[in-house]
Amino acid sequence: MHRFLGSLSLRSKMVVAIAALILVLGLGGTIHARLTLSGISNDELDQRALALARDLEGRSGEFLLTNDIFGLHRRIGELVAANSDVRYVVVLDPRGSVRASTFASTLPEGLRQANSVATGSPYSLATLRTDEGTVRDVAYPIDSGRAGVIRIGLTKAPVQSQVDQLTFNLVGLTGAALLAGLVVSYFLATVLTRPLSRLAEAARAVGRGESPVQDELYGHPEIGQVALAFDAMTRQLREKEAERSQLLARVLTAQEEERKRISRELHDEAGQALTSLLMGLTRIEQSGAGAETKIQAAELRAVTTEALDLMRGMARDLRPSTLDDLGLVAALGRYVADYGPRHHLETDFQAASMDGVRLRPGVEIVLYRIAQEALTNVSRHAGAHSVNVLLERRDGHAILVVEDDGGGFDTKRVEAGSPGAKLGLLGMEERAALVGGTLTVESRPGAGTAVFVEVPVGMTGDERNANSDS
Amino acid sequence: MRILIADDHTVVRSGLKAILQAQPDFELVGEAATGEEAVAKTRELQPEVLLLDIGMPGINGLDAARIIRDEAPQVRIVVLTMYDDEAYLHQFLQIGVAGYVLKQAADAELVAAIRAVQRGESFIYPSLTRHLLNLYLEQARQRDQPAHEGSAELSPRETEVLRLVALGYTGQQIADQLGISQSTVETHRAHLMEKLRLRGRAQLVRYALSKGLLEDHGQ
Ligand SMILES: Nc1ncnc2c1ncn2[C@@H]1O[C@H](COP(=O)(O)OP(=O)(O)O)[C@@H](O)[C@H]1O
Ligand SMILES: [Mg+2]
Repeated sequence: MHRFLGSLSLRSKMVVAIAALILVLGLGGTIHARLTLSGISNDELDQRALALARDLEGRSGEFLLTNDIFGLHRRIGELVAANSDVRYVVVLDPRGSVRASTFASTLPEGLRQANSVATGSPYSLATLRTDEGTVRDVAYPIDSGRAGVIRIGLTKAPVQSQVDQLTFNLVGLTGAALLAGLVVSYFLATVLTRPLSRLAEAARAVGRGESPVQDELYGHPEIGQVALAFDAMTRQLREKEAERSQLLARVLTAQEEERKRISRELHDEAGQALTSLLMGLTRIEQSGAGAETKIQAAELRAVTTEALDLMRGMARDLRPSTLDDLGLVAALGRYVADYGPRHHLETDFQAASMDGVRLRPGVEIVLYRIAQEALTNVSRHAGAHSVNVLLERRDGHAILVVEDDGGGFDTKRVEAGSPGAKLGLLGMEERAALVGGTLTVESRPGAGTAVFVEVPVGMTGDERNANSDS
Repeated sequence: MRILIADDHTVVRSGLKAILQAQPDFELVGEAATGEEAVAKTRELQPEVLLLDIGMPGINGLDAARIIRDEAPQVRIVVLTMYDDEAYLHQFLQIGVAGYVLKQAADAELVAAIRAVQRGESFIYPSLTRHLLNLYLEQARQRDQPAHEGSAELSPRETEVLRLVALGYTGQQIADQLGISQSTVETHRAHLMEKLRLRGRAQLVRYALSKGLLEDHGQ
């Protein structure tokens, strides 16, 4: 019950509470009124029965004395005519035989024994259940029982119908009150909870990344404070989020700069030194030195070549100089070409509308890194046979697509999973967001995976570059 | 023959000098350590051959080569570099250099290259010529492709899907644009790929490019 109530909305709770209150009050009142009224009416009935009996007793003694049965009958007839609720009147002699009665022939079975006056009692009242409903029967001794007994039966039907009518009216009234109460409480609850619903909607909007402002709620007596606090919290969240992405941007930029510097240094400084070493060793080999020396020089040259290759590989992994010197198409093309054989995957790279186009350096590095991460995922997770990489410009946007024909995955499940299990995807998204772009992953189990990145690049600068190249 | 060396590394320059001086008919007229210097000394010394490094402080080898090609087209440029990326090779070939040699093997090849460009020939470092061959084959294939693909008949819907897929729209975006479901988009795509005998998005894009379906979008 508790849990059930807890699961109801505030509005439903209010409506249910008010309905219950009205029901309890209405039904309780009805029952009470019914009991009271029938108590009063029964007393009244008894008083009337006694009054009628007493009245008849006063007159009937004389009729009995004079043995005027006809007069007695007339008297009884008058009494019945004047009181519509009198069902019967019977006058019994002391031996118990009928002297006069409203019944046409004999008394109904059991009536005679149903009520009697104990010796010494002034009268006796009894309730009889008959075919014609409940009857209040009074047995009244005539002349203290010496002349017989009067029996009068008053039907309870009019009283009962009065009580029933009242009950019916009260129940109807309760129903009407219930209906009105429901309507009023529903509207009241709606009005009261609307600011709360508004806040809840605002909270959802914050979740979606919007910044709603609740200023129309500020004037509200209770909710105003909450709305103010809520908006302050939203603002702080926004600021934190902005700070976070600024920090992230700085960290990523610094990282890229550092990589670029190390890559350059590896390539230019260390690489050139090794290159000169190679030249020197070659010179020794071709010089007039002894055979022993020449063999050693050749061996050293082999080692040096290996070291040089290793170092150039490292430099390229850190940051390919082609990316800075020649642009994304060249760098990515080279990366994809190296990637295929290394992971035993068929690769196909295509650039469209990118001839001679240089994007902003930030955009180029972001797209390059996202492609790298997407391709790493393909080799790690996809089990693909081939992968396609597409780079193009469309309506002022740079588009990158990395599409494999592998096993795919349930994007919803991964998205809902722990952040630790989707760091790669999150990183791609963050990088795309840094340059104002969006990342979309479309994948279904068994149907391969496609990663789409769309970055606004505008149209300035590129065309200038394109022209100077050709 | 008058030769100018442009390289930012002293050690490399002295190595090169040693190689060149072993050839009696080669005359080293000067050295440059930056791109600017290479341009200035070429202007001043008018060498027959310029040995040009790519990675140099200031303007790099690419920019220097462009300037020199414009200012002194008669100077034969031999790029001497550590980069074996075909992209660099393409760039320099477009600029119009006469030779491209990798430093890793700069001895006999370098001398051979200088002699070749002196004769008015071009010299590309052997391991890089494979790239050129691939490039040529690729172009030839692209020229041939449309001929047998042209026979395929696409429905207007399929053509539209082809165009949008080639433009790099996501499945959802295409579905929204055409007012159909994403799985219908995939069905169309599968059909048209089958009809055109295309494998993969890259081939699809090349087909669309060859049919001019992607025009008015690049800019
Ligand atoms: N190309 C893909 N093919 C199949 N599954 C993939 C692909 N890319 C990502 N996934 C799934 O998405 C999950 C999250 O990827 P990611 O965030 O890069 O994390 P990680 O690569 O470290 O597992 C992976 O664990 C994998 O299950
Ligand atoms: Mg990953």
